[in-house]
Amino acid sequence: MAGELNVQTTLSRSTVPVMTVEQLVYCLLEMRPAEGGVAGPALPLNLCLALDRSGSMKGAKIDNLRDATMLVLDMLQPQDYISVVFFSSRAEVAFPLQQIRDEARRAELKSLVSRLHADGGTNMAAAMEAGLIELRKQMGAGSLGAGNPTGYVHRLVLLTDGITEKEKRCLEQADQAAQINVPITALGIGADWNDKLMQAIGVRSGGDSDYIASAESIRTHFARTVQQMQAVALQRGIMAVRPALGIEVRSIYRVVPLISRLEPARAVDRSCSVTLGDVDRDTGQTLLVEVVVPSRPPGSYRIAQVTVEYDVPQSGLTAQQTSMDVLLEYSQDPAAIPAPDPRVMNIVEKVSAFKLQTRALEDLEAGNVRAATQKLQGALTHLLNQGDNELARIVQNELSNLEKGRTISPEGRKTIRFESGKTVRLKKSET
Amino acid sequence: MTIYCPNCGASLPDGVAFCDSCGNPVRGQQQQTLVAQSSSYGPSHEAGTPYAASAQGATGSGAVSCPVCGAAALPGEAFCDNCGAALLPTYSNAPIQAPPSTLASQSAPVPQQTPPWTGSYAPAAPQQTASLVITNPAPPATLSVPDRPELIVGRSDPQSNSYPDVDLGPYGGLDMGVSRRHFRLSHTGNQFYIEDLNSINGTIINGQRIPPHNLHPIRPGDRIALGKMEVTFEIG
Repeated sequence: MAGELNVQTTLSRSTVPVMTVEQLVYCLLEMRPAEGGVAGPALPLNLCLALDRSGSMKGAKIDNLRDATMLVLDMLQPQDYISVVFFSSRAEVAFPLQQIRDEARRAELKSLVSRLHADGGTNMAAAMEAGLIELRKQMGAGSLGAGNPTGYVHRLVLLTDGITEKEKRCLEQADQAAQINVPITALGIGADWNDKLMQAIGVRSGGDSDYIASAESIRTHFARTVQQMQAVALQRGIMAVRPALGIEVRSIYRVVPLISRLEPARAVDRSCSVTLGDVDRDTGQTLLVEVVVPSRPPGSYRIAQVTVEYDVPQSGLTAQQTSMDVLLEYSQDPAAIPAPDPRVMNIVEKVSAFKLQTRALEDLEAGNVRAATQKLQGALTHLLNQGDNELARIVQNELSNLEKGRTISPEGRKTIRFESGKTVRLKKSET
Repeated sequence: MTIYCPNCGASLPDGVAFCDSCGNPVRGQQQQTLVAQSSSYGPSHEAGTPYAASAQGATGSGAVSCPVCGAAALPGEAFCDNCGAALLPTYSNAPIQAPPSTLASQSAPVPQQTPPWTGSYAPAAPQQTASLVITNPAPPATLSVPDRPELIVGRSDPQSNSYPDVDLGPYGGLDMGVSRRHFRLSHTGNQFYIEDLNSINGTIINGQRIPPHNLHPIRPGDRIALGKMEVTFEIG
């Protein structure tokens, strides 16, 4: 029936001038579950927490981690499944995947968590492997029958404060997680963990990643993750855009809930598809597609067809589709060319700031301080314009660090890497 | 009944409004049944757009360049990917527009929370003066271009009451084949465009004739031929 999802496309300009060369047009693609379109209670969760208890976690970090894990146990409903894996030099399953059917069981699991103590090294890959083994127990048990991962909202939450052994194996586990539709929320705390690795784990698994600046915030991050899982309405979302001949999709960025560059799979028929995964009932997802359009005579053209496919587990529906045409007008009349749509341009500016910060970190890694400085200066002006004063202040500090010592602080690097995807307006008004 | 796209020749189900392959409008046009020329199949669809610029390349070799750092960009691109400079004019007071109805989906519109567009404070491109340097006929002469969003370049002709903003008449414009209204010069920020106004002898930029009434981006150093007259575009 496909009425569960509203999809709307808005171009930066609905009419472009007739030119002799190619032009760039931005297409905002907003997808939100229809109000009342997805009925029924929240989907059951299938959650595993894989938590670092290495020696460096001693003190406030391990205490807060214990509290935050208890909070998660309190937030779960009787139909939800949970498992906890601790890791140091090796991984140990604190308790296997199970439901919290009554308060006695909840108290029992809490007492297992209360024994959490810090010592040993950091072997995250082993914990990821153990976590995925636990989550697989509830795969294919959803409302859509065996083999279909939908019906449960799966997630592996990973938290570490150190540099792990066997990074390559961690990435392999992230790929495995993606294959079985388990997004990973990769969280790092403190200053001494590999932010690039954790970001890659989030991206490759179809999940997310974040930097926890203070131990007291672990609770907030855990609670937010559980709330996000409970808000999932549609699953296995895929967006495909099929450009007309001569039109090129240059790039696709997800902008809501967080900004990230998506790597579309490109098919022979020019279609570009990206995985949306789980779609939240409140915020949905928004993408920004950069489209390169060729020279054309005046007239109205269909530049692309957009199709969004998804499952509605509450209704037992799979592969529902919503499709639409994206039309563009070419005109030789200057008066017919509208000013760019301000709403689209706001998002374009946010994405520009994100791109500049991401690429500045890449430049720094390659030792190109001059290029990184130029990009961060560009990002700073966008951030100030967008009212993201907090991140702007951090970028400004790191710019003076670059000037003094040709390097930025580990905390600054982590903040820029993870905060650049969340800008003030997206956080306050668009999510 | 199967119909064929008049532009690219793709076979289409009857009743479609746009070609499935090239996106050209089909409805309301002469629908061709089984008579499409073989030469109009496939990628040669751009035969209908004689000056298609596919050779310009979509990425990495943009048609315009960032006025601050010089990185390549495409017309319509809002910000430079390299330094973040704003490539389009500031829209500080642009009204918030509803999405055009032609672009909306068939579904109910998504509720919108439109944050105001407060304009860009991205590194502003320094506003520089543009000029046209006549290189043929000799001797060279430099004509500064008034700072206006758009102006006409041609030759004056009092008889027809034609007075272009930049007058090439005193430099032998008539004898060299310059039209009264030869081309329009416009700009957004520091990016300039030329639009040939259907001049008799046409406008040739760096050896390539541009079609009339199409905007063509130009860069400093570009050679522009108006008939036999040659000028070079300069900024700064």
